[in-house]
Amino acid sequence: MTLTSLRKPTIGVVDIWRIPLGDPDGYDELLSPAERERLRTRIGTGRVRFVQSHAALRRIVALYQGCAPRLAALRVPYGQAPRADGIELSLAYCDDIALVAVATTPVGVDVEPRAAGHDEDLDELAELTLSRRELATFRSAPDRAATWLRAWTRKEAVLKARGEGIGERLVSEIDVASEHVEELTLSDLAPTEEHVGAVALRNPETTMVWKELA
Amino acid sequence: MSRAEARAQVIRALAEKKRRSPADLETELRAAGEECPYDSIWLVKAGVRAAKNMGVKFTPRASDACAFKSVEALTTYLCERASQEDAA
Repeated sequence: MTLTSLRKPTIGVVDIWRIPLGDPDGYDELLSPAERERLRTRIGTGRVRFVQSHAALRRIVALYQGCAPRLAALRVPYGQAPRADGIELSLAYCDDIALVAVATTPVGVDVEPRAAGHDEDLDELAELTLSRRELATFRSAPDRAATWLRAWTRKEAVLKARGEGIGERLVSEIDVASEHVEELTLSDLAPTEEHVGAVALRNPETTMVWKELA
Repeated sequence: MSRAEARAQVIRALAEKKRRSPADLETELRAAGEECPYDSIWLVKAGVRAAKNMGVKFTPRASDACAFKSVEALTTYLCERASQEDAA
């Protein structure tokens, strides 16, 4: 039986899939052998998030490829962006939510709980992670926690869109004060009332289309 | 400061930030692998707190970016910084 493919996003469009995380029972069957091997290193809530988010990623890719999840052409190398034929992907998850960004040009997505912006050492965090321009904005911001967290999620999204890891360069060197960072366009996300995020897309403009995975 | 002491500082700081017990955190980290990789936002938070507690000034150079890849990398960085400041 041939399944109908979901239409891929056009240039400049990012499909953002919002996935609530919860009971992982049954979802580990959707994981690849390599993912199951990595699953052995996860315990507790980390295990739940891994199973659900990776299974959701496979189901989403299968929708675009018009096949059953087990047959999706998807590779998820450790520490790197997931790769699938014909589409660009990025996965982020925290607490009880995951986001999958799908586009036709390189894309990066990040999500964090709003509470992550609140920290007793926020001033030191800002000095360590923000560029000079961002730091000026931070110091005059009415909501410093939200300002710092917005910058952080943008930086993570930029790194992921470029295929770089957090440990490859200082995040303070990535200036995300503007919505355009060289070849990337940044958009802030509010996937739920309790979470914030950002998406970076290699395109002069970005249109986001929110999708829910049943 | 010994590496073990520096690592204990990192674990304690991470546990405080995550509001979990150091023992639970240690179990999770060990399961993840020898290097103890962790979510970077929490490693950055823990690094700042641990540096403060250790009296170490946190001024990483570009080559130190890898400090935020794992608990072990962060421990190595803070240990080296502490030694440099003791020697200065």
